[in-house]
Amino acid sequence: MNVITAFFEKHGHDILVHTYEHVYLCFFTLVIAVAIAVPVGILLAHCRWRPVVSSTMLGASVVQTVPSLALIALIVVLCAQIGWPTLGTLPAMIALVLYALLPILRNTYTGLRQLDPATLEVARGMGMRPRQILFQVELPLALPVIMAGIRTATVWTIGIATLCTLIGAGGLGDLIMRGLRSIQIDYLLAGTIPAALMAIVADGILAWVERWLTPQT
Amino acid sequence: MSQRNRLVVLAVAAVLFGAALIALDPIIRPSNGTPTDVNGDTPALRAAFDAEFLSRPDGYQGLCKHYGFTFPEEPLQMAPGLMYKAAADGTVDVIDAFATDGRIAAYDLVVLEDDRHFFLPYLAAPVIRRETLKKHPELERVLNLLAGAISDEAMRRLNYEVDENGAKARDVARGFLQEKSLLGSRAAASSDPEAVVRLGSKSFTEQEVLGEMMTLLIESHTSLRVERRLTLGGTMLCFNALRAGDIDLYPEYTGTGLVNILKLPVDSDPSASYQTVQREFAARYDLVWLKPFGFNNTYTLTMRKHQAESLGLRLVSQLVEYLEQSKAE
Repeated sequence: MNVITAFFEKHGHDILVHTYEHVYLCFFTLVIAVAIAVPVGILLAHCRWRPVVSSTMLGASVVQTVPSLALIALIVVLCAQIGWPTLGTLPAMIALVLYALLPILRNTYTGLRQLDPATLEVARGMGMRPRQILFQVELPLALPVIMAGIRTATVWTIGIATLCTLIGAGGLGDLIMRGLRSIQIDYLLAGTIPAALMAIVADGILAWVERWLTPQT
Repeated sequence: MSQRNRLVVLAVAAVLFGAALIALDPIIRPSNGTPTDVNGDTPALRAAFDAEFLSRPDGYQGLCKHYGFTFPEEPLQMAPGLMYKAAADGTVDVIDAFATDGRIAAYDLVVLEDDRHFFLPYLAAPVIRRETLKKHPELERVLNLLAGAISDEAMRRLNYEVDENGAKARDVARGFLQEKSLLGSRAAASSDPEAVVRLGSKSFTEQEVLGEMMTLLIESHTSLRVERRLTLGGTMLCFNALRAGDIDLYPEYTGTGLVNILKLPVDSDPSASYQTVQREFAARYDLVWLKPFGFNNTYTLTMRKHQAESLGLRLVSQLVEYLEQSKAE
């Protein structure tokens, strides 16, 4: 017990502050990513011009293939070019949002495209307008797939956000990096355990939300 | 509840959560994110340190204890290479620069004098396996040609050449040795496959320059060939490779040897700490510290020259006084 008390005495405050910073970074990243990716995914699913769809998807996939560390570095360099702040929350959040876009975008698109055409036909046959079809038929049915995309993005974001310590954005990566640079296991644990717990808890909450929102049949 | 209502509930919950996060911000991170602002005549100074400085006993925690102060807001943590630029462009005001980094001069920064002697001495010296010395005893004489030959100023200039002017570490090292007339003139390398030493260094500019310098010295004064492994990723990697016999020598710093490797208490006397690492490395690991190069690559607290002058800060203790005063206002 003494070990645990001593651990929290030494790191309790750090864990609290850095967990808060981590939640802050991840939460707003995901809100922005959802606000961008879901509408774009809906537009793409209804877009009849194939090149637009494939090039947008390709763009999002290319971003995903850039290693996360390199993406953060690229954003910093780009920010420096256009005179934006190169350190702190802003560049970190830009990189994280770019990274979170693809899973949400792809799942929104796929979720809407895979719907049974017969269902949509019935909706149209009932005289529903496109807007009604979207909000009352398509989105409710595609919701589980969209939510799955958001869950993937959430877990990734929580993991990748630990790298943002390098550009002064804070978060649990601060503690992990201190542990790495000084080969001290207690710092590593103080950073890693909350990050892992956060991913599990966030995924659990979203899984519950997903079930809660899914129409009962 | 209909699905639409549930979505509305969810959106409201998300907005409330976001609002709570923002509302908590000033409580958990006091005045974070605001740029250096002026309250009265004393702007609040912000600090940025690298991860190693924030976690080592000879770093931030020790400094706070020694001088009896803290920064009014938590220091930012960032990669060491980014600190210099962040200080130069005013993102932060105080950083933990390395004393021999060329960017201190390049970015018009100034080192505050450690007037209460907290920072450890980090004298650089070659550390070599005793076995290797037995096999090639001439190495000791040759490497000690560099003993005391590189001043702080000289090392800073060499680092600057590489970091800012894009020169190659090898050319910079050769230029320095020529200037000091330390290059020998051997006839030819030995063809004996045993006549090889493997030389390591950590992966940052200063270590590479030192690695190249030692290589040139050995190759120009002896018939030995040198295999260079100049970009090993950090202290523990170099040290473990040396112990395992994967390399024969690399340049190390006394403070790092004392605190990071031997895990001994800090000692701020340069010659005493050199003697301690020399004695303990020989006894524990059968490794020999040759004579130090002369310069001391210690941690420093460093600020923009312009700001330090306008606030009248020259010593670390003046910075401490200033911080206490700005807190009181």
